[in-house]
Amino acid sequence: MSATPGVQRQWWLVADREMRERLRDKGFVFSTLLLLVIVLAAAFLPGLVSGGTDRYEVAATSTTAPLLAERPGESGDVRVEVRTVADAAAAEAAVRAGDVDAAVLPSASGAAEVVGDRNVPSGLGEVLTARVRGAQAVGLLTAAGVDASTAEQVLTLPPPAQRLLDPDAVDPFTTYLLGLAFAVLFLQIVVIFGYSIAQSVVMEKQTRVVELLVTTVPVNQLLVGKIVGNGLLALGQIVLLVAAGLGGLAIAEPELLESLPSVPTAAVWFVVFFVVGFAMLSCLWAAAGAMASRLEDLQSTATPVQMLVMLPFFATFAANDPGTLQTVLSYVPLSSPMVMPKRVLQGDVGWTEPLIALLVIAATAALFVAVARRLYENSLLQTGRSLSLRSAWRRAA
Amino acid sequence: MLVLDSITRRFGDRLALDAVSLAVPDGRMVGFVGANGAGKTTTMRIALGVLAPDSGTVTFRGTAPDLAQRRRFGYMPEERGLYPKGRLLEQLVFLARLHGVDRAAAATRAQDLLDRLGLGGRAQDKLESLSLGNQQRVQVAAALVHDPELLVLDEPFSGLDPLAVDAMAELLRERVRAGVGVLFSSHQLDLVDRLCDELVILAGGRVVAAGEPEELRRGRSGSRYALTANGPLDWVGDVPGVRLVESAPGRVVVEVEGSDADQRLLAEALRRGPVRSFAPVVPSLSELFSEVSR
Repeated sequence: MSATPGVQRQWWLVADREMRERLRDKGFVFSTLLLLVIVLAAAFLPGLVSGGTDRYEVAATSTTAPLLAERPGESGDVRVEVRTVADAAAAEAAVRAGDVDAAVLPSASGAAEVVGDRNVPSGLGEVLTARVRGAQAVGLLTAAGVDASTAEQVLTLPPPAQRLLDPDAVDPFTTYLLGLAFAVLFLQIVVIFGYSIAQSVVMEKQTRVVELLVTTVPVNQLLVGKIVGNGLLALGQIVLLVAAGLGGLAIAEPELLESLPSVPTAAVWFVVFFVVGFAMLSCLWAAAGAMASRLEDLQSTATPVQMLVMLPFFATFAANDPGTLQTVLSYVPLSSPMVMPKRVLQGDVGWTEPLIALLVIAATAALFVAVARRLYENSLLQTGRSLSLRSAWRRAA
Repeated sequence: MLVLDSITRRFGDRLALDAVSLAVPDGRMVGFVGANGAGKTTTMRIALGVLAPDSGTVTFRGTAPDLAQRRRFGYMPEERGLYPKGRLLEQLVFLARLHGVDRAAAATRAQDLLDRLGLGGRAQDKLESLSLGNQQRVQVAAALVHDPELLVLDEPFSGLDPLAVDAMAELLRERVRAGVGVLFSSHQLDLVDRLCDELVILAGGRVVAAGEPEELRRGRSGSRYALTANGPLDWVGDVPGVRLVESAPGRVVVEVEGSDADQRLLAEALRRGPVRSFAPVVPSLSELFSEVSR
C-alpha cells in the first residue's frame, strides 16, 4: 500500500466530507425546506388571497329581498345567494349562528340596513350597498314618472374611460419586491453557509482534528475544500429556491412574467453573481473561524465579516430606484450581487455591465482569498484563545 | 531513521526547544519523557512538519521530508483530534484517503483496525457515542490507518485501562517488528520502561539524557550502594569516602567516592558482623527522571 498521495484531489476529499456532514445535519435539511416553503408561499399566496370568486349567503325578508337583485355591470367577483326568511328575528338568528354571512333588513329610517355578526366582509358590504341603492333609486325614479329602462340606463352610465400612455411599463413595486427577494436570498444564504464554514473551521480547531489534517493536507487545499463543499451546497440551495420562485410565479402569476420578460435573465445573472460573491465572502468566513478557538468565540470574530454582508444589504434600500447611487452600488463588489440583478430586472443594462461588475468581484475575491489564506494559515494551530486581527496577520507561519 | 538535529524553537521570548537532537531508528520504539512544558509536543510537531523550527534540521532516511513523505508518517496528537459526530469507519477512511490510500484499500484497512481494537461492531457509530477509552483506540487507528513508515504518538497510553494498554502495545510492537520507527511520549514511566527500546528525556527544552534505558540507569548507578546487615550501622558515615544517603534500621544507602571506598566499606562491615546484602543501587526510571530533570 505504498500509494503515492494524489495531492490534487485532497481538496475534493475535504469538500466531500463537508457536504456529507451538512446533508446529514437535520437542521440544514429543515432550514432548506423552510426557505423553500417561504419562497413558494411568496409566489402563491398573493394570488390565493386576492384572486378568485367569493361566495356569500345573505338572509333577507320578503320586503328586502327584491332590493337584492343583481345589478347590471357588477364585477362578478362576489357572488351573493339570497335566502328569504320569515322575519327580521329569524334573519338575525341566522347571522348569529353563522348560517349566513349577513342579512339585509328593513330599517326604521326607511332605507334598508345591512346586518353582520362581528363585521360584514368588505367585498360583500360594497355589493349589497350598491344593489340596495340601485334598487331604491330605480323605485324612486319610476315613481317620479321616468320609465324603468331609462332609469336603469341613467344608473349604469359608463365611467370615464382611462387611456394609459405606457401600459407595458414595469410596475416599480413588482421590481422592488423581486429585487428585495434577490437581496434577501443572497444575504440569507451567504450568512447561513458562511457561518457553517466558520463553524466547521472552529470545530476542527476545537476538536484538534486540524492538527491531524495539516500533517497531510496543505492549508490551501483545506481552505479550498471547505469553500467548495459549502459553496456547492449553497449553489444547490440557490438554484432550488430561484427555480421554485420562478416556477411558482409562472403558475400563480403568469401575467406578471409576461409583463416582465427580464425576470428569467435576471435570475440567471443572480445565480452567477451569487457564485462569485460567495467565493469572495466565504474565504473571509473561514478566516473568522480560524481566528476563534471555540464556538463561543465565533460570535466576535465573525462580526466584521457579517458586517461586510449586512451593511451592503441595508445600503441597497437606499437605492431602490434607478439613479446614480444604484448604478454605483451595482459595481461595488460587496453590494453588486444584490443590486446588479435588479438593474437587469429593470431592463436598464445589457450583458456588459453585469460582466464588468463580475470582474470587479473576481478581483476583490482574489484579494480577499490572499488575506484570508494568511489569516487562516497563521491562526489554524493557535488553540489558546481567539486571536486579534493584528496578531493573526502578523504571526509568522 | 528520523533524525532531529539541533532543533531550536522560540515562541516569542520563550525558548521552547534548545538544540534538541534525537533519532528514531527504523524498527525501534523510542520513549519520549519530560515534565509538562518540557517541549515534547513542540518537538513532535516539528518532526511532523506542522511547525517550523527556528534553526536545526529534520531528516527522514537521509533527506528533509517533503509533504509526500510526511504523508507516510502517522501522528496521534496529544489533544486527540477526530470529528465527534463522524462515524468511525467513515472518518478513518477519510483520513486514510487524505494520506493517499485509495478508497477500497482504506475501507479494508479501517475495518481491520477497528476489528483488531475490538470496535469492529461499532464502525457505523458516531465517535462521540464511544467511551473515552474507546475513542482513544479509534485515535490510534487514525494514526495507523494509512500504514505509516514512522509513528509519532503524543501520550498514546493516557486514559487507557491496563488491558487496552497491552492491546495497543502489541499493535505498536507489531509495527515496530515490520520496521516502523515509533516515537511516543508518556508520563507513565513504568510503561515507558517496559515498552521502549530507547529513551529520550527532555527537560526545559533540552535533551538531558538519551540511550537505552538499562544503559542509562547503570550509568547513573555507579556510585550508589545499599548495605543490609544484622548489627547497628551508625558507623557507616565515618568510613573515609563514604557518604550516608539514606538510613533505616539494618539498611543504609550510601554514595561512595574513589575507586576502593566500596571495598573498604564492605570489609569494615564484615569485620563488625554478618552482612546480608551489599549491592549497587540501580535507580528506577522515575528516580532517573527526577534526577536528570532537576
